Amino acid sequence: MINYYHILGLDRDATAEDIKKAYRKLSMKFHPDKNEGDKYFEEWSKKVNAAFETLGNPSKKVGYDYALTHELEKKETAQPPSSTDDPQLALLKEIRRQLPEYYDAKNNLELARSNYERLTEQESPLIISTSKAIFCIFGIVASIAGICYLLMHGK
Amino acid sequence: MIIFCLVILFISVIYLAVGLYTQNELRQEMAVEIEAAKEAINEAEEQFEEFSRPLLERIAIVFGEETAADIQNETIAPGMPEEFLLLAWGDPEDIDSSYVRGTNTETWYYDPEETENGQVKYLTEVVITNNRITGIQNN
Repeated sequence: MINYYHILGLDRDATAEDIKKAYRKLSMKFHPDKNEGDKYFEEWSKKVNAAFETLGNPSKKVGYDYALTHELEKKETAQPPSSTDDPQLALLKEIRRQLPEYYDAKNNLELARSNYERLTEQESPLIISTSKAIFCIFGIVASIAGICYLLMHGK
Repeated sequence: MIIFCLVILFISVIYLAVGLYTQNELRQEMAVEIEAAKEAINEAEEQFEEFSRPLLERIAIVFGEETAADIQNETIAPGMPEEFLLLAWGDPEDIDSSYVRGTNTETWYYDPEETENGQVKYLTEVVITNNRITGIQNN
C-alpha cells in the first residue's frame, strides 16, 4: 500500500492545512511543465497528485487512514520508507544506477585534458638548431665567396 | 678547388633546406595534434555536461541548490549520502568496513601517496556511517 503521507513528507497527524501546503510546494517542484520531457518528474508529479486527491478529500482520507493503520499494524517492525515513497531515496537509487556512465564520461574528459596537457608541454621539434643553421649559412657564404674568388683569379 | 667549393655549397644548401622543411612539417603535425586534442576536450566536456546537468538539476530540486553546487565543485560535507561522495570524488582507493550492533561504518580512503619506505599512505579519509558521511579527515 502506498504511503501518501511519505510522498507529501508529512506525519500521520498532519492537518488539512499542512496537507494543502505540502501539496502546493511539491506540485511546484515536480511540475512536468518545469521539467519537460523528464519522466522522473512526470512520475513524481502523478504520485503527488494521487496523494493529494486522497488526503485532501476528508471522506477519502478517513477510509485511507483506517486502511493504512491496519496495514502498518500487520508489520512486526517499523519499516523505513521505500524508495518508491521517498523522492530522496529514489534519486539516490537513480544516482547509483547512473554512476558507471557518469564515471565513463568524467574519465573521458580527464583523459582528453591530460592528453592536451601532454601535447602542449612537448618541446617544439628542432631538426636544425641555431648553431647548425649558422654553420650551414657560413658554409654557403664561404663556398660562394671561394667560387667567386677562384673564378676571378682563375681568368 | 671550385668543385670542392661547389660540393660544400651543395651540401650546405641541401642540409639546410631538408632540415627546415622537415622541422616545419613536424611543427605543423604537432599543431594539428594540439588542435585535435582541443576539439576532443570540447567534445568530452559537452558529453559530460549533457549527462551530468540533468542529474545535478534533479539533485538541486530534491536536495537543494547548495548541495548540487557542492557536488559540482567536488566539495563534500558531513551528513551527505555516500552517493554524493561518489559523484564528487569517485570511487575510493581503499575501504575499511565494520558492522557493530546494527551500525555499518566504513572508512573510505582517497589521495594515495607513497612514503619514503615505499608504503602507501592516504591523505584523505572519509568516515561513512549507515550510508551517510559522518567524518572527513585530512592527513
